[in-house]
Amino acid sequence: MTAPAPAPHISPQDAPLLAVESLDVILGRGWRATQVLSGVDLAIGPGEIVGLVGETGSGKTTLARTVAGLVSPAGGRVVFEGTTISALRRGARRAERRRGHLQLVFQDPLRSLDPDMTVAGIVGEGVRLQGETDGSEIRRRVVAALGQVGLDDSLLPRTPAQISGGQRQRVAIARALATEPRLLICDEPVSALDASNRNYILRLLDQLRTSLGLSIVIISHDLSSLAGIADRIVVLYRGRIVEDGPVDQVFAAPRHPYTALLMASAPSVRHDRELSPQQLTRTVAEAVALPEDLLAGLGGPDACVFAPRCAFAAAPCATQPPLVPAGERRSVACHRHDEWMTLARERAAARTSDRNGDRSRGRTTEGQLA
Amino acid sequence: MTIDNLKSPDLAAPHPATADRPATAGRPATAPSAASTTDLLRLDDLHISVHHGAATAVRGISLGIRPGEIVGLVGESGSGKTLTCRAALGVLPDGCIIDRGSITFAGRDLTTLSRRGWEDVHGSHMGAVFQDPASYLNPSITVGHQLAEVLRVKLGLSRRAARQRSVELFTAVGLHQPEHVFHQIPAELSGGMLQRVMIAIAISCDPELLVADEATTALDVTIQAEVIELLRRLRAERGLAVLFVSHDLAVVAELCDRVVVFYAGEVVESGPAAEIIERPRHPYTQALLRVASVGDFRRRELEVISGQPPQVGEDITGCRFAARCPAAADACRSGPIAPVTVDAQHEVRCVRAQEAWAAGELAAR
Repeated sequence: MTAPAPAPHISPQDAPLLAVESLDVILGRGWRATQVLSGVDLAIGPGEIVGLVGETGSGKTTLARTVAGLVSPAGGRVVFEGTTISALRRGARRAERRRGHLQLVFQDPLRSLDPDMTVAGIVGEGVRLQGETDGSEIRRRVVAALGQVGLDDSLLPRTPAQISGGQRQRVAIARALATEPRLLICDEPVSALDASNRNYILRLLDQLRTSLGLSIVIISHDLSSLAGIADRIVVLYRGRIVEDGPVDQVFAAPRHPYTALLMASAPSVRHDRELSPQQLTRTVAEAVALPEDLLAGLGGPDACVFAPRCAFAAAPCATQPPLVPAGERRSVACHRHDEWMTLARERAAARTSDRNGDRSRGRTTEGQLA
Repeated sequence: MTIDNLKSPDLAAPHPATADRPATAGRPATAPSAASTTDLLRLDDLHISVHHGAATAVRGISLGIRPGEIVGLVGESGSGKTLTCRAALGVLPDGCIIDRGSITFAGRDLTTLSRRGWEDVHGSHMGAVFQDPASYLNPSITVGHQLAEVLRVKLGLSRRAARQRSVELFTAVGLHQPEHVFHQIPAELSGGMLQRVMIAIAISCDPELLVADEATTALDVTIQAEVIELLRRLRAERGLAVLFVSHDLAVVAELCDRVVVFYAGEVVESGPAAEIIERPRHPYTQALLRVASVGDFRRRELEVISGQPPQVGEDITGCRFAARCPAAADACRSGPIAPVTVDAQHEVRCVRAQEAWAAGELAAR
């Protein structure tokens, strides 16, 4: 482990557009209260595309909603364009939102777009909220925003139900672009689309970054397509950032076992992965074989969030590892980040030798990770 | 198929617990000639129209699944893959009609099957799982009860036996702490666990065929990988045949023995999965392969298939993909395109099937 340095990702030359600092979010009250985000640090630079990955319940959407001011954090702060927007209240917060410099795009456009409004109304609404009253100017900006996503003004009088799925998602992006934002947060923008439309939308976001100088956060669980356009990958697990780094480095050599698990689980048309998901997670049989005090420690409240699933969890993992720098512009939250890869390879070798003749590829799945 | 289904044999006798299912006397499903080489499910020249006959959405689909085989149907949304498997399940939406063609399951014709006949087929011979497991379960009843209910109704098990069998099934689909899960309601379970519950229900009466329509689409990648592994294991242990529908060619390639590619209501290519992935002959399959998640984690130009598929019911002379095809020639637009066999079990509906591959249409990856 190298010497800790503060804020490892903020390149000194340019101030980040968005800085999230030790953000804690608790949803619900009383006995229902659940800590959804714990000490999240994140900085998004101008013109950067950041891919935020993690599974259901990891807090990706809550992070997006907190940044947009839809959820109040329990601790930490959100700084956008130099303003601590998480501290804004009432009128000041509404004014900040009306400015439209930060926009959200949601996963399912059929649900996030008002079914009774026309495309013209949907895309123009944000412009009107900014205070624009001139009808022809609103229309000009609506048509311009549609043009930026490759749609023409023939769609203006249609409602969301009258256009195709790919077009709907483009309308949702045009709605966000109409207010000339600086930062676009897209929550699973492509999950509901088929492969061709998915690539189209991602390519479009990449072009918008270049043409408009936008910063974009893309929340997704499809690593392979994110790899095509993102500059940086941030991996979230159970409300904590477990890995953060430049996309090529993270995918070339993941430093956290969970990142490796995500990569190993991604469907592929070729069967040439080095590690399988089974080699990265602990089976029930292996869990039972662990010493009791270790098992209790790994299941405890202070343990590393990934320890219950991790095949490489050991005694130190009974405490949550901090996010520490691991190489240039990279950081990882794993006690064993420089050991587990070797262990994984040994595990893979052992598995192959004892599998002789065992056809059942799925035997480790049973009882695992319920 | 008229009077032979009045009494379902499954209702009378407790079901054998494991995969060895003797051909129960009186069960019309297992025709005496049925050997393992013949198709379990066979669709021939299937035509389905939507909106009460206004538009033809499925145009002459033919495909077969052998016992224990995993066949993947892949294509864009609106290509007719879901309608096809819904027709095979006998649950076509309102206004959809089978105009022509036959669906044969283990020797019996499903297109003319009575309601009583379907009651025998559903569960006992065919199970199904869909994209959104939560919407197929009653939110206020424990999942264990919902599974036990199926066992009691379909197999006539006692309360106690059904409970015991349910826990066994939950264990078989890889649910952790099955006794505990038995008493939980759907809201207490994650999406991956619910999909396992749905699979447990679908295989509870030991069917020969499982239809999985976009069954892993809504799941996280890690959970999706586990469900795929589970389907593989069920095939190995129980000889379960699976009809797996997905729009993601990568997922289909992971799991399936054979792939059937749908485009605008037609099968454009079908063959062994490895063959389709390594040597796709149809320009559409080649395009799908280029846009699929290929497990490539490098920064790259993401590819798209230009143009839009034809409207449902649109009549096109010649190849339905011609308008989007980079290799389209005059011959493609002049008349109907018949499927050609290019290799053992590998069929392509393309006049330039042989050239397209030779010309290296597939982008080098």
